[in-house]
Parts: sequence; C-alpha cells; structure tokens
Amino acid sequence: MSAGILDRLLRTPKEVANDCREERGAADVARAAIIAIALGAALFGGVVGSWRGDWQVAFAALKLPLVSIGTLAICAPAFYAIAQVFGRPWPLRAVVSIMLAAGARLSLVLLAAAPVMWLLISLGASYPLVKVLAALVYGLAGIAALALLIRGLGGERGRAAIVSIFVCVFMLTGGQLAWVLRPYIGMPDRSKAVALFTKEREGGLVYQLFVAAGEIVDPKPARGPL
Amino acid sequence: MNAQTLSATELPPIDEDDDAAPPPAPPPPRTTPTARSHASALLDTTSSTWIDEARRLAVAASLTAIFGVSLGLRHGGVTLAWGAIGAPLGILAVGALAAPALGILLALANAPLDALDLARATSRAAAKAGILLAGVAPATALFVVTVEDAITVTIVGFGALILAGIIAARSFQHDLEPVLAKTPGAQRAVVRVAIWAFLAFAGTLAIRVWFMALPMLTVMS
Repeated sequence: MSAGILDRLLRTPKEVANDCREERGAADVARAAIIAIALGAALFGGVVGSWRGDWQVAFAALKLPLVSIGTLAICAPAFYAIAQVFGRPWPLRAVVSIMLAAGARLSLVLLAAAPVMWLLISLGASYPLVKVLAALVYGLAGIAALALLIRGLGGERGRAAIVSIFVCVFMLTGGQLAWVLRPYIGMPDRSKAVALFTKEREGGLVYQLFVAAGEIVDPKPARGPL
Repeated sequence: MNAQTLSATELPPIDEDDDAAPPPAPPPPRTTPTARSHASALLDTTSSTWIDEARRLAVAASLTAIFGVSLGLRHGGVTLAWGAIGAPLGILAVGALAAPALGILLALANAPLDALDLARATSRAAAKAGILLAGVAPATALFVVTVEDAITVTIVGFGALILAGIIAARSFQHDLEPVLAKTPGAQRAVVRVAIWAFLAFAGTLAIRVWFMALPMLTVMS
C-alpha cells in the first residue's frame, strides 16, 4: 500500500533504507516513491508558479517533477559507481530504490511546504522573497532526503566519502538541470510574456556561481551619490 | 517451487512402512542469496591470472571510454571518438608505463611483492576509476551539452578525472598494505617511499596524457 510506504518513509527511514538495500519490497517502494516525487514536485512547482500566475502555474508544475526525476535518473549511475568503489557491492536495483526513497522524502517535505508557500504568495510576497523561500524549502527537503541516504549507507567504512561525493554530484546535476529548465517563478518583469523556457544566455550554474563568488570577493562600487 | 527443488526433493517409496521411516529431517535454513553486482565482480580480490588482470584492465578502459564519449558530446562527430580514445589513455599509460617501473623499483628493494600482485592492484585501481567515471558520465554529459561557457566543461571534466585518480590511488595503496606489513623494518620505509613516488608520478603522467589527448577540456570554445 503506497500510503503505508510513504508513512514509513517519513517515520522510519532507516527501516525503509535497509529494506531497499536487501531488496525486500524494493519495487513497491520505488512505485510509491515515483508517485510521491511527481505529485510533490508538481504541487510545489504549481504553487511557486502561482506568483506569476497564468500559464506559469502549469509550466512550473510540469517542469519541477521533470527536474526531480531527471536528476535522480542522471545521478543513479553515479551513486551506484560511488557505492561500488567504496566497498558497497549492491545491485543497481537496490541503489535505485534507495535513491527513489530519498527523492520521495524530499518531495513529501515539498508537499508539506506548498500550502505555506501559497499563503505567503497570496499575501503578496515579493519575487526575491519567494526565490529565497523556495531555495530554503529545497534545502530543508534535501536534508530530509540526505538523512535517509546516510542511514541507507550503513555503518561501514567510507560513508562520509560516499555522502560527500554524492551530494556534490547530486547538487551540481540537479542545479544544472534546474537551470536549464528555468524559469519556475516567472520573470519579475511583468511586461514580459510567460514563457516555458528562458531565451536569455546567462552561462551555466557553475559559471553563475563563479560570477557570484567574484562579486562577493570584489564587490562592484556602489552607484550614485553616497 | 522450481524444477531444481522438485528434483532435489526425495519422496519415500509408496510401499514403505510409514513407522519405519526415519523422522523427516528439518528443512535446511533459508539463506538469502547474496546479490552481487557486475561492478563488485569486476573488483573481486580473489586469486587471478595475468589474463584475468588484462581483461579487468580492458574493461576499466572501456568504462573510461564511456566518460570520454560524454566529453565529446559538446562538439559531436569525430570528438566523440577522440574522447573515447583519449580518456582511457591516461589509465592505460599508468598501467603500461608507471606500474612496471614501480615493479622494478620494488624488486630492487627486495620487497616481497609478486608481479601479479602488482598487476592486480593496478587493474583494480583502474577498474575503480573506470566504474566511477562511467557512473558520472551521464551527469558530465548534461553539463557538457547544456553549459554555454567552456570553463565549466574543463572544471567538470578534470574534476571527475582527478576524483577518479584519487580513488584509484587510494585503492592501489590499500591493496599494497599487506605487502608493506610483510616487509622488514628497514625496507619498509623504502617501499613506502617508492609507492608514494609512484603515486605522484602516476598522477602527473595521467594528467599530462589527458591534457594532450582530450583537447575538448582545454580548448576554450
């Protein structure tokens, strides 16, 4: 039963992770997880897109599940490989089910945060505030997912290395995929039409991170009279 | 119940007296089959032959070629083949040039190390690097295809190669630890220095080969 699995995912992540690792009911977990990921991300996306309204609600509700499931699909071989080289000879099926379970936990947190986000938007939250809040919610959801992942790795040697490398790969991949499929909230300039994808050339995620880091180190001089 | 279980089940003859029959043996404890992945079979540490090690190195090179293809996706066409050839070259160069040199050095130091043990440690290290690189190949392909700036491709590409190199070096060192433990006190320091020197040389050699063989990582376009 999907509801039972989702409840276990939230309450006893260690048990679920162990079951996935030993391939006990992994297919059921995977099935429930995919549904949870799609629903949670779609709802959160729709809420975020409601800041701009119009077609942006549908676009964001469509794109956010794509980002979630796409990132998991791209990162699954990486997680499998990292687990293997650090002495965890699990089959691919076990690795994929652990990843899906972690992804479902992330999406359930997004699902829980969606009404709060909607309320703030309906109260007139600004574009930067929605942007920061969405990032914050994603961060919290990521921590919930990470907790399951860490428990799933067991207590053997190399856990810290696996988690560090995997989180790095996952964040970069997820960030880049999200960047490619932007915008989600919509353009702050309301005179511009709602678009499925942006046409502006702004480099990539890593490039933008470098630019942002450069601006922190060497801030541009303030414009106008002081 | 499958066919094998059916054939293995012994039924008593029909005409046999039930009282004379021995008490039924308790069923054997159910053991969970240990599922092993293909990758773990590739990293097996059991005894092997030269052919096994050559095969493992070839598989490692093939896995690394997948990563090379993902790098070649930025420009497509011939660069796909360049990537598929260039990426494994770094690993093969270490296996073919650096490892034999270490073997000679360790033999000079009279270390209790078989050449096959050294080959096994080398091929296992290469296999770990290959598995990791093949695993991150889809993520690398995403970056290579979607980023607008070439510097990101360089960072991601070399980042993955260096990470794979560090994991391979760690594996190599770990596999040679038993040899170090068996080496008498004075020689142990020599062997340790030789292994560290080898790792530094192997790392530099691999980066140099990748620098030359993977122009898509260094050309800023």
